[in-house]
Amino acid sequence: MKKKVLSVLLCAAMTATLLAGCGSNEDTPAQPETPAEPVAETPAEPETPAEPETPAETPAGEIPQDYKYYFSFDEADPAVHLASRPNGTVEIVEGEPLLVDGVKGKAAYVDGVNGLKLDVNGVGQTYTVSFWVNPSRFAQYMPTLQYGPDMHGDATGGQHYVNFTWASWNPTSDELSYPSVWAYDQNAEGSPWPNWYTDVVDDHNKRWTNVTMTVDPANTNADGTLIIADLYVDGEKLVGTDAEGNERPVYVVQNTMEPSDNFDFLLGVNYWDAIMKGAFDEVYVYDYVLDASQVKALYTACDATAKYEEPAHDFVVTPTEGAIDTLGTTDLTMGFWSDWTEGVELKDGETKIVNLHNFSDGAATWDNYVVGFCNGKNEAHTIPNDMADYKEYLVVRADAYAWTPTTNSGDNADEFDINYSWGNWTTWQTQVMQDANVTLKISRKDNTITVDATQVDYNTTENTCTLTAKNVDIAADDPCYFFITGEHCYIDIMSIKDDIKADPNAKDTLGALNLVQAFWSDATDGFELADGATKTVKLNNYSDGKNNWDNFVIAFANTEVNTDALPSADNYDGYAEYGVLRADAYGWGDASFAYEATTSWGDDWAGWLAMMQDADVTLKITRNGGEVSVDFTFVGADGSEWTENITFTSTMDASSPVYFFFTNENSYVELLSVE
Amino acid sequence: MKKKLLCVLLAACMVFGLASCGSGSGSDGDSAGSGSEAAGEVGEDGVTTEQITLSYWHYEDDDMIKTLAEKFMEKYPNITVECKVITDMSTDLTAAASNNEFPDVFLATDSDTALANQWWVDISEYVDNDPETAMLASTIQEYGIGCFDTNHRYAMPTWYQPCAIFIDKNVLDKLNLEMPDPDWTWDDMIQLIKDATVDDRTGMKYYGLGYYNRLDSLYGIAACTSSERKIKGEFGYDGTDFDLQYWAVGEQQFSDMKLTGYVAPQQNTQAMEDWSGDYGTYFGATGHVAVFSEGFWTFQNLWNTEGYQEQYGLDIYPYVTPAVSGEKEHNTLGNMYLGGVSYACDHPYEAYLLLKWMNWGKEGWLERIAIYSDESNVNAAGVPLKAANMPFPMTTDPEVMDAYKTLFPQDEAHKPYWDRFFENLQRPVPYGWYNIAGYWNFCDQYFNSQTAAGVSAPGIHNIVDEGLGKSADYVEEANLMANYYHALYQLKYFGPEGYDVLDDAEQAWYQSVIDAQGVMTGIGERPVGTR
Repeated sequence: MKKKVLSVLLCAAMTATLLAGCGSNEDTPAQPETPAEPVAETPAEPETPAEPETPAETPAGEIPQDYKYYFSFDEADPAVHLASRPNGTVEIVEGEPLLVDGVKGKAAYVDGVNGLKLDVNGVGQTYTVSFWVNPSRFAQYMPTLQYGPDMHGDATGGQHYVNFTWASWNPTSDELSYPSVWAYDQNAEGSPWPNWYTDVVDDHNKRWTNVTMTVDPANTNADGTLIIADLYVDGEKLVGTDAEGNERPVYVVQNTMEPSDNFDFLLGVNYWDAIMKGAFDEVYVYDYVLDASQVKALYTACDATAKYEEPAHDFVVTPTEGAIDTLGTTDLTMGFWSDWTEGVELKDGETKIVNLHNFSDGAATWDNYVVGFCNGKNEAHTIPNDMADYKEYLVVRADAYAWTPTTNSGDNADEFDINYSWGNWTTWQTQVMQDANVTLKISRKDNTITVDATQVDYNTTENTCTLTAKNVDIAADDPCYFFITGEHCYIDIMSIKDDIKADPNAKDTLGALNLVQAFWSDATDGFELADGATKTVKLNNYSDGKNNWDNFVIAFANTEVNTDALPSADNYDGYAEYGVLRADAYGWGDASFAYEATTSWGDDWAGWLAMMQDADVTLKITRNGGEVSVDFTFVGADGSEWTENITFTSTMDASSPVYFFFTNENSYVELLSVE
Repeated sequence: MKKKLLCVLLAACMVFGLASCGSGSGSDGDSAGSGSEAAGEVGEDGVTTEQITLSYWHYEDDDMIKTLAEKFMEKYPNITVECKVITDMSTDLTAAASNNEFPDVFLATDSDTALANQWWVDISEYVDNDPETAMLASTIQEYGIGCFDTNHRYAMPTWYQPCAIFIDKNVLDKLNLEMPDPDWTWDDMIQLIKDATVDDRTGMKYYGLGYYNRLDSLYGIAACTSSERKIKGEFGYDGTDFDLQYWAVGEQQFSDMKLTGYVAPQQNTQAMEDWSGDYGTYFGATGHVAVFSEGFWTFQNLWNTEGYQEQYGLDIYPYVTPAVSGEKEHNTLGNMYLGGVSYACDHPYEAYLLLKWMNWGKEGWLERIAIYSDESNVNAAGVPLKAANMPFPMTTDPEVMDAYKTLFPQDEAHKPYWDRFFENLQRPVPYGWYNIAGYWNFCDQYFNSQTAAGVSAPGIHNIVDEGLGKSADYVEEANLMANYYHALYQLKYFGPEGYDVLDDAEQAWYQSVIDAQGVMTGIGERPVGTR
C-alpha cells in the first residue's frame, strides 16, 4: 500500500511538473463523461427488527419445530396446489402433485407443465426459508423457489419478490449457475434489482441440494436500502467474493416476506420463465433467523444421496368440454376409415380453420387425425365412399404423409411439399400427439391443396407441419369437401371456421393474420380529441383467445403520432402518455393516472376471451376537460353483445393537447372508421 | 541487441515528446507519448526505474492473467501489476472514473463506450515504432483495427477468438458423406449442411448445422473478393460506407435453413428436450450434428477435454470459415476485444508494454503457451487454463505459432486439418461493435428495433428468421442508417468535441453524410486525414 501511495504521489508531482513546464493543460487527458451523481438521500431508518425468537428449548444443531410453515410432501396436503400459467398468470389447477422419493420420505414432483403454489403468506421482515430441490432441467431464470408479496405487481403495480434461479452472472463463465439469488422491488426508490451469483459455477442439476436463506433486516448495506442475507447451500454458508477478494453480499430487497393478500410462494413456476422439471422436498419457513448449526441440521437430517425415478407423463384421454363433434372412442380403438366428421365445403381460394384435440395411443405415427378431401359432402359419421359419384382427391395424415388415388408422398416426393418442425419421431409419436391441441389451416387453390398444422402438446410445445399436394386431380370449379377422420385415436372437434378475411375497407390494420405481434410494435395514426369532443371508432378485433391482453389497446398522448414511427419519446419530441387502456378493462398512465372500469361480463373471462377472437368493436370516446370516458361495445361472431366503460383522469386538463391512437398485442385489428 | 535498440528509440521518442509539448503542434488528441514523460528516470530499455503499479482490467480467466502478470513482473521487478476482471464494462469503468480508480490498461467488449468517454489515449507512437507490430496479423495494420479510420491508434486487438467451423467426422461417416477439403467454399459448406440433414422418420434426426455464431455474420465478411469490395467490417463496411447486400444474402440463406429444418435446436429449450430427450443437451454433444458454427474456444473448453469426444461419440475437425469466392487468403470474422492505455495512466509506455505482453507480444505469448502446455496449471474452478477461453495469437511470429500449434491434436488424422486451419486463418476481422464507431447505435436505433406484422419481438433477425420479411428488403434503408450513425458518431468521438483528430476535410465529409441522412450519392470517398 505504501508503495502505491508513493507512486501516486510521485506521479502527481511529475504530472504537475510536466504541466507547469509546458505552460498549457491542453495535453491533459480529457476527463470521462461524468456520470450523474447519485442523489444523496437520507437512508430510511431500518425497521427495528423484532427480537429474534430463537426458542430457548431448541438445542443448537436440531431442526427447530417452531416453524411458521413446513411442507414434507410425504402425503397429499391441501396447502399444496398444482400451479400453471395458462394465460401468463399463475393459476391453481386441479390435481395433486406427483410424489416421488425424496431426501426424507416423499418429495413433490413438478413436470415442466405445472409448478406448485404453497399456502404460505409472509411472516415479516425477519425470516428463514429452506428447501431441497433436485432439478432435472434448468434454464436461465427458471425459478426453483420464488416468493414475494406482489410477485407480478398486480396489487401494487410493482413487482416484489425473491427468486432462487439459474443465471450466467458470474463474469468468469458463460455457464448457468445455481443458486443465483435475484430480488426485485419495482416500487422502491430506484427499483432495486440486486442479483447474486456463486463464485463456483455449478448448475446443481440432477442432484439434491439444500438451500437456506436467512434474512435479518438489521443487516443492511450502507444506505439501508438493501438487506444483506445469509445464504447456505447444503448447510454451509456461501460467501461470494469479487475479483479483489472482497465479499459480495447476498442482497435482497426490503419486505420480501411482508404479509399480503397477493402473496405468492411458488416452486418451479413463476409468471415469466420456463417451468422447472424436478422435485422439491422439506420446505420450511421461520419468522426468525436460524443460526448456522440449525441450518446445518436442515441439511444433515436428510439424505442428499436419495434418488428418484422421474415419473412419465400420465396421458389420460379426457373429452374436451365444448367439442362440437367427436371421432372414435376414448379407449382409442377406432379403426382406420371407421368414423368421419361431416364434410365441410372448401371452395377454390378458400381457407378453413379447424381446431381439434387429438388423443392417440402413441403406438404408430399414423395413429392420429387424418384429413380427407373429396367431391361430395358426407354426413357426420357416415362413410364418404358411399356417396354417389364419390371421388377422392387427397388424404393427408398428421404424420406428414399423404396420398392421392395415383401416388403418395413416400414414393413420389416431388408431388408434395412437406416441411415439419420436429426432429425426433419417437417424441412426436409418443409424447406430442398423445395429447395435442391441433389447429389445421386447410386451403385450396386451383389444383393445390395445403394442410398447415400446428400441434401443441401437453408441454405447450408447438410443432408445425405444412403439407402441400401440388398436382391434385381437381379443377378450380370442381366441388371440394374435407372431412376429419383418424386411426387409433380420439378426436374432439372444437371448431371449424372461416379464416380471417381482411377487410379491404379498413383504414389501417395492426398485427398480422397469424395473430402474433409483440406489444407496442405497431400503431395507428393519432387522432385529436379536443376538449368536449366525442369520437366514435369502429374496429374489428381478432385474437387467439389465450390472454386477456392479446387484443387492441387504445392510448392517449400529448402528441400526434403517425404510422412512420412508434409512439415514444425517442421518436417524438416531448411525447408523453396520459393513459393507456387495454380492451380487457385494464389501464395505466402517468403519475396522476386513475381509472374506473365497469364491464358487463363480470367474471366470465372465458366467455369474453372467446368472443374477442372475432369481435366487431365500437368505441365512443368522450373528453370533458381532464377526464376521458370510453364506452366499449363488443359484438361477437355469434351476435352476442358485451359492454365496458373506462373513465380515467391524469395530468391532462382542459387545455392539454390530447390525441389517441391504437396499438395491440398478439392480435389482428382492423381500424374501420374514426368519426 | 535489436530489442535494446528499440528501447533506446522509444526512449528517444518520449524525450522528443517532452520537448515538443510546449509547441502546440502535438495537441491533436491525448497522446500517450506525452504521458510517459511523467515516468521520470528510465533505464536503458526506456522503462521507468521507479517502483510503479499498473492496473490491468480484463475479461479473461483471472488466474491465467494473474499468472501471466507474475511473469511480467519477473521481467520488470519494479512494476507491480494489479489485475481485475471486468463484470460490466460501462458500470465498472464509469464507477472507476467517478472514484478516481480508473485502471491503467483495460479491455473493452465494445468500443463505443470507450470512445464516447475518451477513456483510451493515443498509443500510435508505441505501436508504430515497435518492430513486433510487423508480426501482427496483416489485417490489423491494413484495416487500422483500433485506429477507427483516424491517423491515431487508440486500441489494439487483444483477446481474439475466431469464428470457426467444426465438423464431426463421425456423423459424416454415418451418413456416408466425404470430409470436405479444408480449402472449401461457402457453397460447399451449405451443401454439406443440407446433405447431412437426414431424417429417416425414426428417432433423432441428423441436423446439418448447430450454431452459436449466426451464418449471416460470417457470410458478410467472406462474401466477396477484395477486388469487388474491400470489406473490412460487418455489414459490408469498407472504410467509407456500408453495403448490406452481402449480409442480406447470408441472412436469408441462414434464416431459410432454420425455417426448413436444417438447424439443430438450442440448449435449454423444450425443442432440445423433444429432440434429444434432455432439456440441457448441447447440440455439440449429440453425435447428430455434422457442422458447427462455433466460437473457437469451444474446442479447447469442451471438445478437447479429457474423454469428452469419446463419451459422446464425436470426432471433431476444424475448418476455417469459407470464402464465397473460394479465395484461400480471405477475411474471417472473430471476437476481438480491443484494449488500450487509459487516460488515467501515468506510465503509458509501461502500460503499453503490459498491454502488449498480455495480448500480442512474442514474449508474453511464449509465456502463455508455457502456462497452457502444463495442464496442472488450473484456475480456481480446477479447470486447466488451456480450457478456460484460451485465445488465438494475434502475432504471426513463427516461434509463437509453432508452439501454439502443439496445444492442438498432433495425431496423424487431425494434425493436417489443424495445420490447414492455422494456415487459412490469416485475415481476422472483428465484429462491428469492436471496430466501427456508432455500430451499437445503428443496431439499437435501427436494426434491432424494426418491427413487422406478426413478429414475436422487434429486430430484423427475428423478422427474417420467422419468415415474415426478406432481408433484401431492408438493404437500402439499412445502408442509409448505417452510414448515418457511423458518420454521426465518428464525428462525435473524433471531431472537435471528442478526441479532435479529424481535419477540416474529414469533418466536412462526415457532416455531409449526416446532412444527407446516409445517402452517399455525390459524396465521394472519405478523405484521408492530415492530423
